[in-house]
This record gives sequence, structure tokens and C-alpha cells, in this order.
Amino acid sequence: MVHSVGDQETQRPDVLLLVLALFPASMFLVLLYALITQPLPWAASWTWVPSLGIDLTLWVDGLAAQFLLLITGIGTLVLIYAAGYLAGVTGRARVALLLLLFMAAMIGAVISDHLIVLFMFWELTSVLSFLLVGFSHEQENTRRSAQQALLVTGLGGLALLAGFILLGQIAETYSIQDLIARADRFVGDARLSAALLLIFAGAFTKSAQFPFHFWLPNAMAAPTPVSAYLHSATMVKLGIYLLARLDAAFSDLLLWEVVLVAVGTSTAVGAALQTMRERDLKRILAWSTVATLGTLTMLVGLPGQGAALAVATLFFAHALYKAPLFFVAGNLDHGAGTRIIDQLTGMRRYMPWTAAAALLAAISMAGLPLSFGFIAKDVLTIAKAESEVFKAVSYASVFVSGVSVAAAAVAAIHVFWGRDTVPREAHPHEGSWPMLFPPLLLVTLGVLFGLAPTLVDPILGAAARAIAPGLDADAVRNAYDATPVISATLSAVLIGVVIYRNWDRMHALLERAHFLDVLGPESWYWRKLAFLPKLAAWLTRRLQHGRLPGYVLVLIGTCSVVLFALVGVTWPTWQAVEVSAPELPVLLACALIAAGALATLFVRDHLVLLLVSGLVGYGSAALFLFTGAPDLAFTQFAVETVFVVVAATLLVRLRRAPATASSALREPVLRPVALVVSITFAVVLTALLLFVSAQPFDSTLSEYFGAQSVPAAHGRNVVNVIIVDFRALDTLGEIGVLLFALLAALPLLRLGRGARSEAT
Amino acid sequence: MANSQVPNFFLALPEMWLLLAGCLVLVIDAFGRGKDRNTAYLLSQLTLAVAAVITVAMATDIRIFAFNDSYVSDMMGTVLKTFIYLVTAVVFIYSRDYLRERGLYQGEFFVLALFAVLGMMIMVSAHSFLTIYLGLELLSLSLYAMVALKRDDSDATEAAMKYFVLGALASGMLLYGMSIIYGVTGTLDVGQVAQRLASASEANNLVLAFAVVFVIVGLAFKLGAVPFHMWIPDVYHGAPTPVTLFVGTAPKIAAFAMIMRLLVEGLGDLHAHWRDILIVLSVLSMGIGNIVAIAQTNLKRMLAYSTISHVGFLLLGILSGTENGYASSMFYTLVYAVMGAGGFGMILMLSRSGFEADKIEDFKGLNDRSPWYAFMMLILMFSMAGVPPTLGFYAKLSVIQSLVDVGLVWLAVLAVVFSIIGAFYYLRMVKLMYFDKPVETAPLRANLDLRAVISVNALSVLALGLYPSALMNLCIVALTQP
Repeated sequence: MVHSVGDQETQRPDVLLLVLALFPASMFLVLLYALITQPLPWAASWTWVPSLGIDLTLWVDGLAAQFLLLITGIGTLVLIYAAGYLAGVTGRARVALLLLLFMAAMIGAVISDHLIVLFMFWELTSVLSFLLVGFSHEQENTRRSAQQALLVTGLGGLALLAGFILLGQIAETYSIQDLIARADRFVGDARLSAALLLIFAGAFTKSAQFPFHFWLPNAMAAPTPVSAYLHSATMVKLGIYLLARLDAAFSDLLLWEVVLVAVGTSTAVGAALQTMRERDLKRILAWSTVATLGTLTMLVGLPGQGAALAVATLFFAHALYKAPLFFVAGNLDHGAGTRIIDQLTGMRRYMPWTAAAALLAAISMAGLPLSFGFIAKDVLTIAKAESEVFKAVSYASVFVSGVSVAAAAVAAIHVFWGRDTVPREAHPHEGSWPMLFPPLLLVTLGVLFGLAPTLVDPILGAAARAIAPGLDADAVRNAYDATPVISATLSAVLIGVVIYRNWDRMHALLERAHFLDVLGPESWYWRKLAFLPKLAAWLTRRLQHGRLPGYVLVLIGTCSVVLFALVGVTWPTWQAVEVSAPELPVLLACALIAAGALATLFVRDHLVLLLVSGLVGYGSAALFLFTGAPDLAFTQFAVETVFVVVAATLLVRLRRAPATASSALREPVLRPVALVVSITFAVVLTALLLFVSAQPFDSTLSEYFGAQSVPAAHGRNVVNVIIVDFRALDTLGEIGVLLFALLAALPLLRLGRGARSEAT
Repeated sequence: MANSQVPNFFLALPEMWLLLAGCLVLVIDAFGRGKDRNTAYLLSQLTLAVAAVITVAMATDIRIFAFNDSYVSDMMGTVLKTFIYLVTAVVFIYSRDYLRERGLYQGEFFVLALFAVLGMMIMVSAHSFLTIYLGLELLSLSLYAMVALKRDDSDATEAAMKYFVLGALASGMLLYGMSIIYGVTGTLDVGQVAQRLASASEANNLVLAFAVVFVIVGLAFKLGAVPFHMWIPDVYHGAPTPVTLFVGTAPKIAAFAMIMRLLVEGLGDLHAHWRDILIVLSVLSMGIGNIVAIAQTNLKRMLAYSTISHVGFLLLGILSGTENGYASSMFYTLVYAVMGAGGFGMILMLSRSGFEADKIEDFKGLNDRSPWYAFMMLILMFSMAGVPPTLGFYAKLSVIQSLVDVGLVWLAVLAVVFSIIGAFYYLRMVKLMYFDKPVETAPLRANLDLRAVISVNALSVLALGLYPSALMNLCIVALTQP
């Protein structure tokens, strides 16, 4: 653990982290100023990798600006919070540095207009989050969850890349703005579904949507500032951001609507159920975050302008209430040493400021009036009413809101109010100012915006217009109808209260629902993780057994199969081949070769083996002799004889040496597979030879030498003329090589003589 | 005949310099006094440096032929050769301590490596089947001997024996294919083969299909594509790590050149024939390479399978049959050589007398022992996995894009799927380094030059990843030269 109870009161806030917080803070202020003074959108472009068509195109519209504000604003607060939370912890500088890098990657992801560049930043956030989650890596489960988070999001990222490339191919552009502009030209393309499904896979893994949702709660092993930033405020929203970004191009597609609404809704419901199975406050918050992300996905899928506004508002509201709640969980962990809700009651006495922040954040999360959360719920209800969704989606959404009311109540009431009945060693203590300022500021903003929504109207409107270009905010406002909003809020609160009152009972009930564990994608994830290494090990044993004959078999076997297939494919051409019967001497020579080759199969003694393999050589020599190449035949005779004599001498010598007792081959008598393979190979090669020899012979060269032999070189033996005249330089080279080889052999021979004289 | 002309020897000055210098190093080392082999080491480095200077200085923007068109000097050759020198020099730096601690610090290592470099240079600049084969054999023979450098080690000799037997067989196949092509076209010159193929008869086309199979078997073996990959894990594992490092990097560059000259330039007309074979080879290589790598406990073996999967990837660009595809393959090859050098270099840096550091668990908790080198390894692993913004990402991206461009979308998707599987074992390395307790606690001891170069090596993977255009343009320029 990164902390312990009691000794933290003496810890002073870490100055370095506070200084580092100035970076995002100044960026936030500059951005705010620019937003007020400069009209959106901002665009800039540089070429980067022209050969791959990758340009560094920046595009900041309302949606990107909203994200930029969240990234830099919450980033500042997270660093301030970390200055208190991680004070005195080793490695805090690394966390801060990684957080800053992560911030940069997030900024890059939301402002790049080029799909491939977006993907690069996207992957960078995965990698950096991996390093951040694994921060307190002494714990086994932290390591596992870091790896899990990286694998799931990293793999999803690669699917995303495939989707992007495909999409870029279909749209003939990688620029998102161009893509939206010419969407109507390619929406009919058959490949689009595949591209979109791949992109969904990437976005769903990143934003923890069903069935890839399981990694997010496990990633809660990360330090609280990291969870607050990555797993609630920024990174997990990147998937939704991408979907919202592309919404303008694809919102009319049925696939788009059906998949997003179905996946979003099932994620929200599933996560709501899982929320009630947890006792760890941070995991409760994590599951409720998943539920919100599901709602967001569903909203992106809904057509209509109200939905776009709802997405923008919920993005904002969620960041304003969920981040403070994570900070609250961190303060509890820090001050009371636990996040398990059974051991946390009446904390209000020890941590009044934290309690206040928790209460205000919870009101917003529950969507009660006068909070910004209420505004969000407002817009959400309108969006659903506007687009006439299935009743099931509507009911699901009310249920999810109810659970979120209950979860808010657990975080704000159960933990802080009532009596502290848990015996403890030391009194819990309130956090230092850097741990209180961020949550308090955020909840204050939440109340402020709840009271005066017009303050954030421009930015939310701009963001919504980026999602749905034709948005008319006034039309949305005019269509406002209070009745469904009030009824939705009332029913959500009602359900929430019921769940909260029966939290323990619900928990016990759901705890028994083990099928959720077994059937869940997480168990599938682990099973798959176990399957791959097993397959890999099996393949290794089968393919890499280390036996050379097996390797040779594969090599020749593959050739035989391919060549045989080739003969099969081109069979008609082969039928035309006419084979004339060979003359008797040629036949005899061939028989000699065949006899030699066959004999090698049955001989076990090295020396005899050498002799019978010599038959192959003599046979070929005989063949040359009878097919009009007597010079070649003589060379072959000579080489074969010398080779057999020299090799035999060596073998006899080796046999005398006591160390090499095993002169006989220890190979099995028959290898059926090898037999089949070699016969196939031989048949194919023979066929090829027959085919080739049936083709007309190109006699240009032999005619040339024959004609020029006498006039040009004054010699009647054409072979001799070729060797010593036409190709004299080659021959000289060959002689040179021979001489050099001899020169190298001389010292070796001398060495042998010396050794012998020493021995005697 | 053209034979009577004096060939333009001057063009092959880099090769001649290397031959001469290699022989000199051999002689100086043999007659040098004392056991210290620093002279051989320094002279070898000097040889490479001078060769690089000559090569770059002689670079022209047109293709020039020499030795009866059996030798070509072009941009592709210049770029590839320069990378070969660079990688080899890095190999020498990484290997020095390792060799010295194990009594392998002999002139033979350097001389054989220099001759292997000469072989590669010939392969790169060859423009005739015969020259290509000569270069290949010079390279292969040097490598066989290098693998067996640790004579008394049974693993090493076994690996060398397997490498030799299989390599000879594959060379035989290649030669057989070449001889068929000669039979059909009546020439060994790459350019003329290409010309005469255009007008080949139907019967000849059939025979050529066979030739293509044989040639590809030879090439696939040298590259290590499945199912001709069996030697790679055994040789990488059995050979001394510096030799593994050498075998795994520079020769791949030469093999790429060989493919370009033989398949693309010479047999380009038969693209339809070899494309399908290459598709099968690359799918098998990516699949088997990436899946089997997961089961490995030995890092050298894991990198061997990772090599196999990378080979599958670089074949993708070639089979696309477009200029862009070839350029992306060339880019992939160069990137792979740089990453591979870094990966094996890390093993060499962590190893010391009596400790090989070639098991995956030897990297456990590296972050606790040395955060900087853990970070370097992290960059290398991310790059091999293809995580942006490292070089490896662009390598994969450009290859995949060239596939999509020619409509092989299914293959592109398959490639992405396999790289997802591949990411698994690279990330496991990262997890081991960052989140596991170190088994080995001794602090890192390595010479300053090794530390510096390995840092530069890894950082360049990151830095070039931020600005990949330079290297990528180099590849495009090299391949689109008139």
C-alpha cells in the first residue's frame, strides 16, 4: 500500500508535484482565454510522413475544446491532489511525469484530425496507462490488472487500426473532417460494416463497454489520482469521444444505431448490477462509471439533436461529480486506511470537508434538482423522448439511474453519516489541503453550473454541434417538456432509495449469483490467455523437435507437395509430352544409378555406403558417355574415383580411432513418411526432366563454338578449345583456386606429419 | 565478345577493399603477438568504416553496371550496404566483452564476419544469378563456421551441423531453380532474364513455374520463412549470442536484396506465380512465429520466432508487387535489423562470465536493477510489437497499407490479428521487467561503449519513430531510381 494510517498528518504536500501542476493549469487558462477570444473551430496542418499519407492535422471544434478543458482542468487538480496523496511515496515523480505525458497523449488524441495520428496517440494512452496502473506493483493483483488493462485496450487498439485503415481505404481519406463531408458518397460501401465493427471493437475496449468492460474495475488497483484521471475523467471517455466524432458521418446507419444502443444499454445494466455486488467504494465508483459510459454510448447511437446535446452535457457532468467522488474514496483510503464500506461509517466526524464534497458530488450524481447532474438528466430524458427508443431501453435507463442514486447514497450517506461503530487502532484523519481543494472546487463548480447552466451553454452547444452538425439549440430548448423529466427523476430516486435501504440484502443476493463470474467475459479472457500458451507449447513440441531428419523431411515434403500440386494444376500441358524410349546403354546407365541409390537405403556400414553411393557417380558418368559428352564422363569418373578413395581413407582412419566406435548408422530401417515423400519428389522431378527434354534444344552456343573452333582458335577438339582458349581466363582462375587450396592444405599436412613424429 | 573488354573494376571498390582488408586482418591477427585481439577488433571496425566511406562517396543517382552486367551499383545497393556495415559494426561493439569473457575473442570471429559482410555486399550488388549465388555461399559458409565457433560446445556444433545440412539442401534447390531459368532463357543476367521472360512460350511458362518454386524454397530458407524456418530457433539458441546477433540482423538485409534482384527484378513477370506462394509463406510465418513464440522460455528462442514472424511481415510488402510495397518491405527489413540488434544487444549486455542472460526470467525486475536499460528494452519490445510511436509501428503500418492498396484486405486484417497475438509475448517481457521481482540482483556491468551504443540503438527506434519520413523516403528513393 502507498500509505498507512496516522503518520500521514506530518506529511507535507509535495512541492515538485505542485509545481508540475502549473503546466496544465497554465494550459487551461490559455485555452480558456483562447476560447473566449477566438471563434471555433481552429485548424492547422503540417505534413509528417508523406509517403504514408500521414499529415499532422489539428482540428479543434466544440467537442475537442470540451475535452481539452477537461483534460487540462482535471489534470491540474489531479496533480494537486497527487501532491497530497502521494507525499512521501517513492516514485511519485515518475507518476507525475507519466501523468503529464499521458495528458499530452490525450490532448494529441482529441485534437488530431487524422485517423492514423489519432490512433497513435490512442495507443500511447494505453501504454502510459499501463505504466501508471502498475505503479504500486508490489501487489500481484496490481500487476495482473495492469497487464489485463494493457492487453484488452492494446488489442482493441490494433482492431481499431485495422478499422481505420479500412475506413481510410473506403473513404479515400484519413481526415475525419473530409470523411464527414463526403460520408454520403461511401455509406453504401459493403466493406463499411467491417470497418465500423473493427472501430467499435477499439472504442468499446477503451471505454470499457460490454463485452470488454471487465478490465476497468480491475484497474482500480491503481493509485487514486490515476484512477480519477484515467478511469473516470479522460482515457475511458476516449472511446466515446471517437464514436461521437464519427457520429456526424454514420448516425443514419442502422448498424451504428443498433449496435451502439444495444451495447450501451447492456453495458449500463450489467454494470449497474455489478455495482451492487461490490463492497469496495472505489470499485463501486468504477462500476458506476462503466454504467455512465454505457449510457453515453447509447446516447451517441441515438439519432437526433437532443442526443448530441445530452452526450456533451453528460460528459461534462460526469467529470464534475465522478472525479470528486474518486478523490473522496482516496481521502478515505488515506485517512481511514480502507475503502471497504462496511468499515466506514460516520466519517463525517473526522473528515468534515471530505464529507461535504461527497454530499455535493452525490447530489449531482443522483441527478437531484439544483445540481449540474440534474441538467444532464434533463437533457438525457429529452433525448430519449425525442428519438422514440424501445421501451426496454427507457426502462433500463431508469433502472441504471436508480442504481446510480443508490451508489451516490452509499458514497455520501452510508460512509459519512450515522455512528462510527467500527473499532480502529487510530483515528481517521482529514486529508491535507491539496487533497481537499480539488474535490471541493469541482463540486462547487457543479453547483454553480447547476444554478446557472447558461455559463456552460456555449461550450456544450459547440460540442453538440460538432457531434450533430445541424443542431439548433433553441429548437431543443423550445421542445422542453418538464413532465417526463420530473417523472424520470422521481422514479429514479424512488428506485435508488429502495436499493439503498436494501443494499446489504441486494448484495447478499447478487453475491450468490456466481454465474455472473463464470459466464462473464473475464473468465473467458483468462481461459483464452491460458489456451494460447498451451497451443504454442504443443506447436513447439511438434515442429521444433530438434531432429535433423525431421527438418529435412519437412523441407523436401513441402517442395514435393507444392510441385505435385503444380503438376496437377497444369495437367493438360503434360499430356502433350511425348517421351521417346531411351537407348539400351542409357537405360543401363540409369539402372546403375538407380541401383546405387537404392542400395544406399539398405546398407548400414559407412564404408560400404560410400562404395555403393559411388555407383551413382559412375552411373552418371556412363550416362554422360552415351549421351555425347565423353569429356564430362571422364571428369566424372576421375572425380568419383578420387572422392571415394579419399573418403574411404578417412573413414578407415576414423574407424581406427577408438573414440568413434559408432561407424554404423543408427537409423530406423524404414520411415514410411520419408519413403512417400521421397518417391513423390523423385516422380515430380523425373516428370519435369522429361518435360524439359521434350522441349526444343537451344543450340546457339554449341553451334557458335563448333563453327569458331577452327577459324578463331585453330583447334579441332572443341572442348579443349573452349577450356584453354575461349574461356582461358576462367580456366586460369580455376587453376588459381586449386593452387590456393593446395597452399592452404600444405600446413595442415605438415601438422599431421609433426603429430605423427611426436607420437613415435 | 564482350569478355575482351576490361571490366569497370572501380565500381566494386568497396568489395575489393573489404576482401583485401579482411585478408590483412586475418594475417595480422595470425602473426600478431600476445593474446590480446584488440588489434583485430579495431582493424575490423576501421575496415567497415572505410568501406562505408567508399560506398557512400561512390553513390550515384543512376544505375551503373560492371563486370558484363553481373554487378550493379545503384541507390538500393548503397543504402543496404551502408546499413550492413552499420549493423555489423554495432554487432562488433556488443560482442567484445562477451567474447573476451568466454575465450572466444579471436581474430576468426572478426575475419569470418568480414567475409560474411563481403558475401552480403556481393548479394546486394549482384546482377546475375551466378553472382547472387556466389555471394550467398560466401555468406553462408562464413556463418556456418561462425555458429560453430565455440567448438567444444555440443549445442553450438549441433546447431552448425543442422544449419549446414539444411542450408546446403536449400542452396541446392535455389541452384536447381536458377539452372532451369537458365535453360529457358539462356542467360544468367538478371536484366536479360526479365526481358526474355516477357516473350516466353506456354511450355516455358510451365517450366518457369517449377523454377519459381525452387528459387522461392531457397530464398525462404535463407530468410527463415515457415515451413523452411526450422534452423532458425536451433541456430539462434545454439550459437554463441554474438553470432546469433550477427546471423539475426545483417544477413536479413542481404536476403531482402537477394529477393529484390532475383524475384522482383529478374522474375517480376512471373509475379502471378510467386505471389500466391509468398502469401502462404507469410501467413504461415506470421502465424507459427507469433504463436510459438509465446511458449518460449529462452529469450533467444523467443526472438528467433519473432524473427520468423517479422519475415512473414516483410514478405507481405514484396508480394504486393508495387513500388510502395517493395519500399515498405525494405523499410521493414532495415527497421527489423536495428530492433534485432538492440534486442540481442540487451542479452549481451546483461550476460557476463558464466551467465548467459538468455532466459526470459533473467529480465525479471530489470527496472529495479537499472531503470534506464529497462526503458531501453521497453522501447525495443514496443517497437517489435508495433506500438506507436516507435519505428516498428510504421514498418507494420506501411506494409499493411501496401496490402490494402492492392486489394488484399483479408491478408491485411490477418496480419493485424497476428500482430495482436505477437504483442502478447513482447508485452509479457515488459511486464516481467517492470512488475516482477528480480531473480538476479547483481548490478549491470558493461563497458561504456556498449552502454552508449545500446542506448543510442534503442533511442533511435523511438526518435526515428517520431520522424520516420527520412528513412522511409530513403527507401522509396532507393527503389524508384531510374
